Amino acid sequence: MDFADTVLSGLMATVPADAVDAAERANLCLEQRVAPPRQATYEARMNRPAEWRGWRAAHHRYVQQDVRRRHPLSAAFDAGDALRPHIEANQELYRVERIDALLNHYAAGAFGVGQIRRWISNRDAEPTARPTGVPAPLPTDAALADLTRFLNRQFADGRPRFVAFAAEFPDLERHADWPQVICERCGLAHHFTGTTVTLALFRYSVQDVLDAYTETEPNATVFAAPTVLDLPMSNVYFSAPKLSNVGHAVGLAPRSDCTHLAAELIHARMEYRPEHWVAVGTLSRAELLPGHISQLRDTHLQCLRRTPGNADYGSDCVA
Amino acid sequence: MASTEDRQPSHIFAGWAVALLSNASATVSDILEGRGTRGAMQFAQPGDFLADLLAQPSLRTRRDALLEVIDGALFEWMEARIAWPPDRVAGFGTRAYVAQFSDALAAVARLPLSSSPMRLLDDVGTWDDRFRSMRWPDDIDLLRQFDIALAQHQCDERLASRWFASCEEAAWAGPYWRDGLATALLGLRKIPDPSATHPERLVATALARFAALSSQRKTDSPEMRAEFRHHVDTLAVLYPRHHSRWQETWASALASLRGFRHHRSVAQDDWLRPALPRQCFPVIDTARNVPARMNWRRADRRPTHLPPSAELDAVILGLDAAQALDDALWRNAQGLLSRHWAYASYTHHSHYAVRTTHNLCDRLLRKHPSQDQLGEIHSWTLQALRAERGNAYVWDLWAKVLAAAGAHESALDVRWEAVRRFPDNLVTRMTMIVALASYGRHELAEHLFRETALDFPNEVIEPRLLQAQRWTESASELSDPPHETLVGQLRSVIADERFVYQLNRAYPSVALQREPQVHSVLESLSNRAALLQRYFAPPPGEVSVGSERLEPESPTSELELVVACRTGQWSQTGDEILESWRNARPASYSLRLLALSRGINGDGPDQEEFAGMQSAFPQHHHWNQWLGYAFSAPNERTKLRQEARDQDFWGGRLSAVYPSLEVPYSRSAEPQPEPLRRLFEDVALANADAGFPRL
Repeated sequence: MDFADTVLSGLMATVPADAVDAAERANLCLEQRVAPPRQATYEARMNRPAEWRGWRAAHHRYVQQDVRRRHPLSAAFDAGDALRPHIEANQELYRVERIDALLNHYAAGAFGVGQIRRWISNRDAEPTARPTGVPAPLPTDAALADLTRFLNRQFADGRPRFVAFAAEFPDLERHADWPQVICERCGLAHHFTGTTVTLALFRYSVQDVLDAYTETEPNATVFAAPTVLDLPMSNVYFSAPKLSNVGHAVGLAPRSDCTHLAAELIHARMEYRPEHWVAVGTLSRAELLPGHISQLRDTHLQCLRRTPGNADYGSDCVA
Repeated sequence: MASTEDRQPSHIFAGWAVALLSNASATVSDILEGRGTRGAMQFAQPGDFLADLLAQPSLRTRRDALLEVIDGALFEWMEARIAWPPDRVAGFGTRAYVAQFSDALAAVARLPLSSSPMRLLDDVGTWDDRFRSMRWPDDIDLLRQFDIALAQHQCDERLASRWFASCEEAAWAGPYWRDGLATALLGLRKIPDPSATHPERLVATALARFAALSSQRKTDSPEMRAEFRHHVDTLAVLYPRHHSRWQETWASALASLRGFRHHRSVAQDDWLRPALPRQCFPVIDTARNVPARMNWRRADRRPTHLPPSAELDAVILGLDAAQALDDALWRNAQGLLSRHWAYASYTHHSHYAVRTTHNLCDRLLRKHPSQDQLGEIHSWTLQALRAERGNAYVWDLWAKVLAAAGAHESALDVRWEAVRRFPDNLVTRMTMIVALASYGRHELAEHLFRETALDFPNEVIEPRLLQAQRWTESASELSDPPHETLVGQLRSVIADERFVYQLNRAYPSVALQREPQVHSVLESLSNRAALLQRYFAPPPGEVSVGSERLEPESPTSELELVVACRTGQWSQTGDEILESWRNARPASYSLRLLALSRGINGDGPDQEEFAGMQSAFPQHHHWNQWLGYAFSAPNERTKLRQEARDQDFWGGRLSAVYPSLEVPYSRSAEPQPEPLRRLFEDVALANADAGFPRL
């Protein structure tokens, strides 16, 4: 992004000494997919910050005020086309949520991961296998629905949801270490906290998302490739090349052949349903320090440069 | 590349811990406002981030210190933010403001804090007022987030009435009913249970009440029934119990409905049968046939039944006949009230306890109770006020108790608050006028009299009310022409005020204000009374109300805004100000009314706008139905007229707004613009900053 505002372009002209600041600056610099009207609005919202911290806070506020609404404003594509190229309505998506806060206030120690797993497995049981022998919903379905409702309310601010394609993670749900696998490939470094975090895996189809808008906003842009303006500034996010239809998360355990590179999309807010729960698990990994993330970003850039037409991607922005 | 397991622990968190310990306010602000560098943790929710920080093994020794500074800084941040005036909120971005506040409240809910939740609870009315006006359906909802924070930290049963009230509000089927019900049930589930009274009983009682009120208000729908069933099923999963226990639980829940009108409909309709297990069906059949009141059985361990009404009649008869308050009378009244409140406390249905409190305490006051007895009467009155803030009789009783104890200024402040809360109540206005006249505030009394005559112009108001020396005349002589309802009201008002004015002033009024919370409530009512006098008082110079008491309550007060609107302080820029406030508080009932009142001309309020407001705030049905009377369907209007006729058309106020009401068989519903505008403003005033401090 080239900024018209002199204060913003002045801040962009200098590479900050701090590794996190530098990564955030690089993301803005690398971004090539923001439409001019959106960029103009963004620049006006930044209020000519004096230093990087001020820009970060203004950016955060912009995301809360303008992006986290019921459908994404991402201008990576023209508005009005609900389905992006190369996405099919029957494709399945994965999404991970941290549920510690939910368990903390909803369960209050009365139940835990084990019970939720049981509810999920009850839900999946064939009706004939149920204790009642009739295909009526079980009470545990109601409990799972109640828990799901509280989870939906927890993220009710309309934030665009980052998702990965299930096809890129074959047999993920069967792996005992699925939390680590998906977090590493999707760049979910904020779940690496040095403590134990509880994660839930959700799986649903592209059609589920489209259905949520078919009646009320049939022309809304429901899917989009993420841009740097769709989320708070972060050193784990990495702007994707202009020609890419998707985003690519920074891999936290990269492979030398770049096969770890996973595609990511954002879609408009959709309420989870009980049938979207797939698995619940825990993750205990040490936090990633800025220095390590800088190395991971370098590796990620090299992988992006291996994609067709992007050999010199980011040469203007990253040393 | 090294495995992620090999990383060194806690560097980012360690840095933030140091920052918190050196400058907690700035650091918490950096986290909530997204200013600070959190590196890989930038995406973590502030609550999760702080919880993870506190859970770091390397910070274990500093955990208590960290918790303490976070506790203080979080509250400080919220206190500063809530004081932002609406134009600042709108400038910042209302959604961003609300989202950051929501993050802060989520952090309060997430962390094991001790001070912030209690401080929020101390001023729960103010926080409620602000959060209630900052919510969007199915979107960010500050009130819900606040409820979760309170539910998470409640340490006794005090909030039970809040959760029951939310369930009752959900039965209006407003835009937030699903979330409101679910959050209220969560709140009830999380009430600490030292006496092992079983949380599922409270939840079942609340659900039964939700069903009963939905039936009563005719708001029930298949969705509401499905929701009811959903919660019954969830309850059974969360609390696995033997079916005999569920029988007992639902029998108790249904028994607690006996105090409600239409209580049998829950058992009769198809609310319960599809929801409960087969083993509980006998409970439904029993509940269908029980009378509203059953004999009070002393052997009962639990107060599951209302005391019989004959007992109340006997105590009232005794009090009316007695010259003085003897021990036996006092003990009878005391015993009956205790049992009523025990029933209310067990069933969380306090309507009858409130009614009995008013009936008995009003009479007890006339028998010159001792100082200790007066203190006890005051406690019961406050208990009744806590339970039913929308009850004009209880406000009147509180003013009388304060006046009886010699706290005349406080009594007047309480009466001002009642005048603003009940714009449909002529007696409250008359009582205020008589009280002001009794205490020598003749100019103010006269002005309020003139204002009241504008609002209630059917000759019910009698100028001689202001002349204390003529109070010896009989009420019937005061009213010309005689008006049956009026005579009764005048007799009561004048007699009451004369009584409390002349009553022995030997009691030290401070005795009633010993509790700091009561003291602070009275202080806040005193500040508010100054504003209300401005609303009802003439322009400066005509009446002196004391310039030192004209300070605004707060730059964020909606009450202040409504007063400014009435007094014409912002006639030029008013619409811009109002627009800015409405942007900052998208869900404020008062502001919506005020905006509608600004648009009232010869055609009345904008019909479409009004319809939107009606569906957004169905819980204000009492006001909405009359504010929108002109838009109602003809059969609906006929029904409303019938109901209002019994209340003398709100003491004549409605017939001033809709003159055709008094004309038999008239089909017209044409409103008078000026009285309608005044009514809109008065209702906006009644609902502005309506939250009440915790008594």
